[in-house]
Amino acid sequence: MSGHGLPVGTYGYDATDRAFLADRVDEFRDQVQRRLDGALSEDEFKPLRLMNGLYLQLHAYMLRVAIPYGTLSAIQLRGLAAVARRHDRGYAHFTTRQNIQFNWIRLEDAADILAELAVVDMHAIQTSGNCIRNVTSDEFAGAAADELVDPRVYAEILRQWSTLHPEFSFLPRKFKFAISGSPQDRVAARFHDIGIVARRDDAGRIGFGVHAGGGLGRTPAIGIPMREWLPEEELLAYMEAILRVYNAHGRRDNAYKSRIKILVQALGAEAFTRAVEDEFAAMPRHRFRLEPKTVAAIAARFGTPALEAPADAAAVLAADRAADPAFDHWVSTNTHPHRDPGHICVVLSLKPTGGIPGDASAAQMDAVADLAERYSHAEIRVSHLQNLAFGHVRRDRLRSLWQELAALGLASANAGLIGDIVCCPGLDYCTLANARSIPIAQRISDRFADAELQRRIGPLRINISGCINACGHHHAAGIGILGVDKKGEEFFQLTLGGTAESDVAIGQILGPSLPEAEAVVAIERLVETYLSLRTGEERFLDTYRRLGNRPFKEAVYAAA
Amino acid sequence: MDVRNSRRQDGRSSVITANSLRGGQVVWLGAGDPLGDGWRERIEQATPVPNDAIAKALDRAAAAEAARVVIGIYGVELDPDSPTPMPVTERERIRAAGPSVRTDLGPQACLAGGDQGAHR
Amino acid sequence: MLRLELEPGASAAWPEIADDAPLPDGDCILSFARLRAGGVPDRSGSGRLGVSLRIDEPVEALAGSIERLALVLLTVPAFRDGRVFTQARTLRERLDFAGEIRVAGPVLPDQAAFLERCGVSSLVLPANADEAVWRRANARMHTAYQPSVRDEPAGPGLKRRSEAASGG
Ligand code: SF4
Repeated sequence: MSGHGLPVGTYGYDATDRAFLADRVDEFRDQVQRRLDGALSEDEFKPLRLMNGLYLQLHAYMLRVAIPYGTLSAIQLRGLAAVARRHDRGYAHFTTRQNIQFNWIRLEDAADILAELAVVDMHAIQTSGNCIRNVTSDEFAGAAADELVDPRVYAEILRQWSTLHPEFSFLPRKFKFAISGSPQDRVAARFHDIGIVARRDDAGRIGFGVHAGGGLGRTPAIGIPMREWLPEEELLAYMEAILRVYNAHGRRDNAYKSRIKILVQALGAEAFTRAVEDEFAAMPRHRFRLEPKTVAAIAARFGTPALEAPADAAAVLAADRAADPAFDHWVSTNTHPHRDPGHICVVLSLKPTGGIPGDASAAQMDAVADLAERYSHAEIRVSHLQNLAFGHVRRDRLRSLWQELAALGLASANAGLIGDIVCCPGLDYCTLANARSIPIAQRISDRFADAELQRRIGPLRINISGCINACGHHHAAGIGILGVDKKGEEFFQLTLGGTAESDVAIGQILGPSLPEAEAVVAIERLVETYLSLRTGEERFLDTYRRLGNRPFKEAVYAAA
Repeated sequence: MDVRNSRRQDGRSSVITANSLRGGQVVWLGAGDPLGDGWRERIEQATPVPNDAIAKALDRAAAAEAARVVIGIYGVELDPDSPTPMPVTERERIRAAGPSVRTDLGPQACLAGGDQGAHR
Repeated sequence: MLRLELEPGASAAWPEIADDAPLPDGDCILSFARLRAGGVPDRSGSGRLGVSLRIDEPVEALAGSIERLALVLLTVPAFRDGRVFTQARTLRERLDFAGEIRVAGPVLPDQAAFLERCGVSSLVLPANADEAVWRRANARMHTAYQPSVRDEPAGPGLKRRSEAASGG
């Protein structure tokens, strides 16, 4: 634990940050009252409630709470569990943007809930609406062995800078940032409106690679490179320049054409980059200069874990693995190397066989908070793949953690495998959906329940979205599934070959969409085809890249 | 208004639905005052309206939105072959029952004798 | 000191002049199109000049004439259209405009503080506006995490006291 009483891995609020949240809760309470009194129309109220995370969904209001850069303290997770119990139906859903959603919220309770969240330094600011959304980051930030810079301090700087930004709170459309500090892109940086990769130059100075104009949704696009190396002090000024060009010139006449990626495509990469650089050159950059002392002041609000492990921690783990094959399998899929040899990062799977991807009960949340306190410096991470993670677990204590996780149903040995399905809420909850996404996820998960089979298939990501908004990131998976509506019936379109990792690619449509039962059979055939055609340990993605659509298309449609 | 719900066949009936402004829960227009107790939480309590009269009925119900009782009023066509009120689209069946993947929640839970789904 | 003047009908004193009408004596507002076509007329002694911009007209084009303008009127077509924030900020930060920036059109009380921080000086409110609601909304937040055109000192970190706090 940190000696200053600051939370490990998250920004510790000071009195001013807390006063800010209190002002914001008061503001929202007042806005709700004005809506109920009739001073605000629904049309006027809607963007205000969205900027406080409140949607109207199929069954009720839904509240999306921000988990900045996916890091939470145990106290915060308990706060979320309390909201689930007190104001919801005892559970919540972790999203692909490292947020958490409550599905059964009443408008009349919303301000009270925000006040309860503020007690644990949490909020729902800008988790929706046409503004800068929660900044996502790497679930192994500050721990991964391959990390060059801890991105969370910069994610926090971006969070603060974008919070109630006076100029950029009414953008043409939503705007999403992701930031990574590892060369292995675990944040899908180039599928974001702005994707940032923090790195050091030869002299050890921190700078940023910047991409803009990426995104999924109706028109998937890979972000264009804007800067190879943006100096730290220019980070905010450069972001201002990009956002200003977008705010001034992004389309506002058609919601489907209003994301920055469409502006980049309309102007062309070169003209867009020139517009940003011209703005950057002309603006008063001194006003936005990110001084080293500012970075230091924010970094100083983060607690750092005292990593102390016995000298034989790694040897203990090796012996534990040798003694227990089930544990060994779980370690090989659900852990990630830590920069400290006595520690390891752990993925807590929210993908039990046949379960609802990303859902967690209040009891599970409380239990995870307890485990985090005992095993990982009271810090929890949420991944964009809808799992939880612990950053700093001692290797010699991993087996005992695994046993406790298993008792909670959080130890599925499937991270990165076919059972680790990413899935949006779909038509069971979402008012925009064309089809249900959860039931098909459950069927696929049941079909591939056999752990041995999953291991044999190897790394294969299945992502499912209930509509073209692509919250389930279906284009970014080896196998993507998109729900479509055919005359009131639920159909599913398959895409193959996508990935959000460093070798980023957009999945390509395989063929005509299929009803649910046939789509599940199609997935089985795709997997069988892959297993019969792969050479050695080749990943699904590599087999697909080597052979193209054809054998897969034939396998799915020839017999149909 | 959800355009997916605007398909209407002659000879069938529809019910009128919305969400409660304060609570957000799904409500259906039944007997009673649309500005007061007319909105019910169970589709069985909704009053079916023949499709050729639904446009007028929606016009009348619109006052409830202006009066801030409900939001998002629209008509939902019913399956003529169902003995109980059953929407023709999956979306509306899910709205009427609750999530298909959590049958312990929503109005469907009350039917099964559960109490989880009871709206406060 | 920039202040939001929350006075209904504040623009009454500055008539907007049709493009084909002669200029009256006294303060008046011309369209951007007229200014662009004819340049800034010489007004010595007969009143100050303002210009009115639509939301899609580029404020940068005023660069050459900004010193002879006393007021810029920005009209918002819908409260969701956030371009006005960039227009105001560009006037202040890139054109160093020191005169009055006035905003008309359907803005919400909840946007007043944002407009102010972007450099807007006054708002033309609808006649039925409840001034108390506007004043309350504008005084709500006491902290900001971004610089404003006022250059309040930063710290700790990115935080600044916003005007509402210091001004009571
Ligand atoms: S992808 Fe579509 S159905 Fe799924 S959560 Fe997003 S908007 Fe809803």
